[in-house]
Amino acid sequence: MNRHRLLMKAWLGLVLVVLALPILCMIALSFNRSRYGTLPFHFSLDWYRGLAGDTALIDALRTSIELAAEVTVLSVVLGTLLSFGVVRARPVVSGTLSQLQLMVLTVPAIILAAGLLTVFDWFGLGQSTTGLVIASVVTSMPFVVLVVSARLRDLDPRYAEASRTLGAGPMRTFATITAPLVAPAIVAGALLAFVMCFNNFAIQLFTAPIGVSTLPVQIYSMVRLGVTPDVIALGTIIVCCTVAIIVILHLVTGSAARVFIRTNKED
Amino acid sequence: MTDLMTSPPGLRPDGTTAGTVPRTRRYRPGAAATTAMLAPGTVVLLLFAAAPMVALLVTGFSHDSAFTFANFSKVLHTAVYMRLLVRTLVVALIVTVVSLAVAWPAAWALARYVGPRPRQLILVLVIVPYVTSQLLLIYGFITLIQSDGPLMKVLSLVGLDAHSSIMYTPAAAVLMMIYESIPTGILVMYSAATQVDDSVLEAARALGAGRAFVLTRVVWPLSVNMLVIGFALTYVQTVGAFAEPGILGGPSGQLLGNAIEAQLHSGTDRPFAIAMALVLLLCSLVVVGLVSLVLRRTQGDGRSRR
Repeated sequence: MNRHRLLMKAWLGLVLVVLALPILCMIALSFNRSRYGTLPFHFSLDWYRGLAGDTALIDALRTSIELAAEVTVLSVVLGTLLSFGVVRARPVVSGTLSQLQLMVLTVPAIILAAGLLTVFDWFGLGQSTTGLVIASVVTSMPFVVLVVSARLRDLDPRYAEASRTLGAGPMRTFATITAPLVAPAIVAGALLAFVMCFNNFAIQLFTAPIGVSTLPVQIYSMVRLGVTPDVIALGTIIVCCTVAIIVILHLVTGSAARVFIRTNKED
Repeated sequence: MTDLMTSPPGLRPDGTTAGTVPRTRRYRPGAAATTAMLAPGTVVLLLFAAAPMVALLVTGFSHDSAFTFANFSKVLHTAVYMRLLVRTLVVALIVTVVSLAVAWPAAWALARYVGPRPRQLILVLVIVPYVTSQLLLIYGFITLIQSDGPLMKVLSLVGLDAHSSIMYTPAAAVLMMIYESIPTGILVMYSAATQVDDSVLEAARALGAGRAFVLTRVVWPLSVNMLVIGFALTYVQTVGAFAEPGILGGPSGQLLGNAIEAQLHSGTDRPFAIAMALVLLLCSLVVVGLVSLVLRRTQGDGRSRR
């Protein structure tokens, strides 16, 4: 039995190493002097210094951050309202809405984008910045709803009931009881929406108007020319920020994984 | 990238609604308030999640605003696209099966043989590639596998040519897609593993069941539902891949997603691009349906022979 256990744990370790390898490799090579990311390794910060001079990348980064910020605000407002509605709505309504959001996240982005482009044409938007923002909100908002509605469902209704019994009105109950209990979930939802929107390459590729390059789209146009050290350096910074956000998410929600999986076992 | 809610909110992965414990009725504010809170998000979802799917059907079956099957017959009668379709369906099947086969034992070990604190850390590690931009992962993968890169330097120690590489071959694209599917597989199969109760396994062993029996008659039937979910999520996502084959796959590694991408970008014949997308989506759903049927049948067998 023990040998069996050990083998399985070794396999888990191996899988984790393989998962980490490309990311670690990119981080390591960002500190390497070679222009083409080849060995031997000589430590250097040249690529980070050169990064500021790469206007195409920096512009794309700015575009991406602005887009993600806008989309996060919209997603949090719409998603939080929707979550409060969903937990009170009839099962038919809430079920349909969650099926719709599940579909948004499971249908391949290229197919969803094709449909969105057609709808944008119907509304006279075409490939526009508005379209890009709408498409990003649709694909980011479900994450806010996922986190916030789960929190609302787990909330013990007795807190609010106690507050009402003790004479507080609905507004006061919301402000002093419900809001503080839900706030961490909203923060977590916002972080997740930001990361998901920032990194959503396929949706951005198809819905962004000509001349607007978000960072993933810009990298896509550069990757065919081979590895460039600027991208490796910027990629390293972004991966580190992503890890930081996931760690914050983990601390705020108590378990980042619970956002993505629902288990019957409480850790 | 992909993709993941293992189940709609409020629904447990096994399909039962959350909370088997009877709930106290919660305080309900007026129906008007509920509707007002639901309205904005619902409008967004109807216009930009439901309507696009309707739009796909409308556009796919139209040409100069007249109803037609022409777009589909063009897809089905062009040998190039049919070959791409078949290749895409087969490649996605390989990617899905391999990534689940890699992920399942790892997820099982994670759920059972690892302490709670390291388990949380590992889950965070698994989520990082899941939320990181697909493009950056591909970039990292290129730095790893390119000729004269770290991997080839290591492999040159065992006699391979350091200047060669699997870059621009179908194998590179397939490996990348497997890599991207593993986190999904681990997260889904982790929930599957937590659903198998320790006491059930102990009971089976106490009654003298061997390891093979426990695996095929206890673990497998209890895991099939999540396996189907993992298969569906991974397969449908992989079928729509275009960045991996486009960047890493080389000329012989292109998939139908690349044809759709090129057609969408040129903007000349969108109905045709959409017809390809619909055929692809439909075929992938048929594969998922067949596989889930077969898998569920094995579950039934395990039960009836017990």
